[in-house]
Amino acid sequence: MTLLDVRDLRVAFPGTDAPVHPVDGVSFHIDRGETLALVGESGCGKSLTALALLQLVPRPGRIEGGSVRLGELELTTLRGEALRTVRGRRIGMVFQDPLTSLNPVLTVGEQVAEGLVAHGMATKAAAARRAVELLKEVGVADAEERATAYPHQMSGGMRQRVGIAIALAAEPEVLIADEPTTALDVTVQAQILELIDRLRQERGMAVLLITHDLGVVAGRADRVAVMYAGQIVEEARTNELFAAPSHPYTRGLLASVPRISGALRRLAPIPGTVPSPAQWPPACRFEPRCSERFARCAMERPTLLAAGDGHTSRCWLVEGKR
Amino acid sequence: MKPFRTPGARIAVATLVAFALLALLAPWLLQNPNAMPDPVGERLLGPSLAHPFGTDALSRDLLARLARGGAISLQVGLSAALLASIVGGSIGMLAGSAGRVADTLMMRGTDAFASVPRAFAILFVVAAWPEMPLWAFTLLLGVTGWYAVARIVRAESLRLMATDALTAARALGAGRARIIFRHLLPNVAGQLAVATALGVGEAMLLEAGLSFLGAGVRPPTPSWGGMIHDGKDVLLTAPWATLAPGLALTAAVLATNRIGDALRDAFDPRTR
Repeated sequence: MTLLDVRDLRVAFPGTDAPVHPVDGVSFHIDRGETLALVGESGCGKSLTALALLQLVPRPGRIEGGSVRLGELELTTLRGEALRTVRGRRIGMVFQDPLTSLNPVLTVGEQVAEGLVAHGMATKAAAARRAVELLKEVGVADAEERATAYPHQMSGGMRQRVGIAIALAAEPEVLIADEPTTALDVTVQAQILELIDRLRQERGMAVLLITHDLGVVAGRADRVAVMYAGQIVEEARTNELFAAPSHPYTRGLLASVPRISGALRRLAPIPGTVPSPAQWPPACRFEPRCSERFARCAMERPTLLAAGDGHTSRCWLVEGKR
Repeated sequence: MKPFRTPGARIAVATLVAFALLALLAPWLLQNPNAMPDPVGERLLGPSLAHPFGTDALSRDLLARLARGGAISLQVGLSAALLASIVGGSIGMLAGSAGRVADTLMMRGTDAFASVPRAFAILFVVAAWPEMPLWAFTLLLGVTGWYAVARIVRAESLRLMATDALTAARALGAGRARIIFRHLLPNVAGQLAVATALGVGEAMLLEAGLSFLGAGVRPPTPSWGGMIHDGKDVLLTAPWATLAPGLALTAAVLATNRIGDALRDAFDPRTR
């Protein structure tokens, strides 16, 4: 059953000549209890997509079009109090860097309790007790004592656990995790991802896992949406994406990730970087960096084409018209 | 706090504490600042044991007047600066956390107020209300002193609003009041403290200047500015009558500025 349904979401920022759209027609859906991974390079618009879901696009950007439906509720037009009751209460968010996303002058216990108090779900005292329980649940040792610590007194991994406890406090139906492990070292990364996965199972949450690291995706996401230059260029079940990537960009991403098994091969980075939103090619946006481009790619804009069961790809190659 | 371990900051705190103690103990140690025991015989006496800072043209003890005037100066300065910080801090945080339109309106309004020179605005009100009591004068100093505070706090609030921590707070469902009191206020408290400390000195100087012009604290209530005014007529024959309040004023303002600097250091992460 679809819980979160995003259709044709567009985010606009004023540009020097015309407005630019760093998120340009993004559509995806997440079912209850499901994990969707949104993967892409820096600058592809994945974090902005996440912020747009909760109307948190930084000024002067704004949502220009599309819809975000949570169950029956349209989120893009919510205002004031109605919007506030969705934020944190129905959709929780974990941020990339727990040091900058925590308030340096409040104790972590206060910050975990804050969501409960802000939504009128508990008195201050009850919220403080619940905060300690939540800290235990996310694996903070000596939770009673650590609840009185300030963010700078904790390690990066512990801070991110606090970040997750904050997002989970009000028991949201959807958890958005925006690169939750990027600021952490590898061993801690695995722990945090396992924690999110365990909580998803226990609570039946829908999880939107945003990452630039395909290694993070494998085995943890049910489906993967690959984003490039403000658009989703490929979406498939995780196994299928890894086994039969259809879009050259996805293949490029996979080739640039080291593998433990299989024949030894050189890592193949994709040449160049994501162009800025003002300089996106008019037709296929990946065309200038694509090793498999042909004449049509520079002339006609590809749509999301069916590449298999529940597998779509924004590439003319799918049609086989070389 | 660490910055208060520097000698300069300690001397500054000691100076203000000394003025406060002097004012508090004056009723027991010194004579009434308005007493004129011998209006003719004790005019313009030089410093002596009975009158450590001498006497003025009306035979009043200058130390007693200095103590009382200092108390009034500090009270006026502190109250006015606190008021300015509360008003300026509130407007700054409101503007900084509001949308672009509300922010622009509030800050252009602030600019409009700030374009009226503070001393002239006060002189104007005093001219219209000559019998203005001290509390009204203090209020007037406060409500003409918040512009800089509002600008500082608004700039800092804008910066904070763009940080991950504030995005996270909004993602959590924090409302406007929660954003301001839980997330902005604790983070701008440092700058607010610095602005208040500097504002005290500024308000004291302005109070002295206006009292010197006869538009501030009313005679016979002693004030440092008023004492300098009284002393200027006898500057050559009795320099102590000007020197004592002048030096006291300089010392007090320097002290508040030094405390402001110390607070700035305390809240500056680079020196922490």
